[in-house]
Amino acid sequence: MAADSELDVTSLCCPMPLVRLAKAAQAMSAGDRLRIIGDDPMFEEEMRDYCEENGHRILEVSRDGRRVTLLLEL
Amino acid sequence: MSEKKKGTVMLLSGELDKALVAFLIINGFAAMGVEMKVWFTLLGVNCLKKRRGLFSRRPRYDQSREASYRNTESDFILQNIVEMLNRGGANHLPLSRLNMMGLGPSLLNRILRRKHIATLEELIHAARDLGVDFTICQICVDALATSVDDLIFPDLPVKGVTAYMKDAMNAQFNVII
Repeated sequence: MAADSELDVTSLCCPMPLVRLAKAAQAMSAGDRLRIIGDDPMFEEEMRDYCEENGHRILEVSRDGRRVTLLLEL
Repeated sequence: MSEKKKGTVMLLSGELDKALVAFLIINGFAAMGVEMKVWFTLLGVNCLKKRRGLFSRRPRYDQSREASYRNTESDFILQNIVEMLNRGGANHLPLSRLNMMGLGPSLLNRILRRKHIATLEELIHAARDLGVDFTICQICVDALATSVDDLIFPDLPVKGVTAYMKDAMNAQFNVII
């Protein structure tokens, strides 16, 4: 599925992926799709919590070893 | 969603480990959509102070502006000595354990860099970017002769305990670190 923008937070540690995502989400509008890639051990769990808390949806998840790619709909 | 969640953090200690945890919490909460307000008291202000050499001269700031938030007429020599010894610089704060005369913080910063964890200074700027509200407590700037112009963010508000009470009572989360 196509994403409106992409955010790479690989090698960043908690809570920086969350901070970058929050900054990116501020600049986007509701309904936009964002692809986010990270490799922090807590990354996927944090993204799920973030989406649950702010009412976003996770459309796709793909894992490649530690690297996790998520497609979010804001 | 229901009304916006709020939180306040009172940062009292000027130690690197405690300030680091405080700012990890602040950034995480702010990114999750919580409206965070941070209060800096006493040594907590050292996180925001610019790094100066021990004997470097402190610039003369606008005295009338300084007098608007603290009693400059009752200042005396002891405060200047404390001001000189009480050095700031977020990444140079001492540790509460294993400080080893300043070796500890540099070792910790090295570990943080190696593990790609944000350092305290980066976290402070990230928090500010996320729109976290910073406030300085009035008595500490007065007692420690701190000028708000000497901080990394100029124009931070200086307020008293009533403002803190209002913020803390409106918040669902309040910690003093």
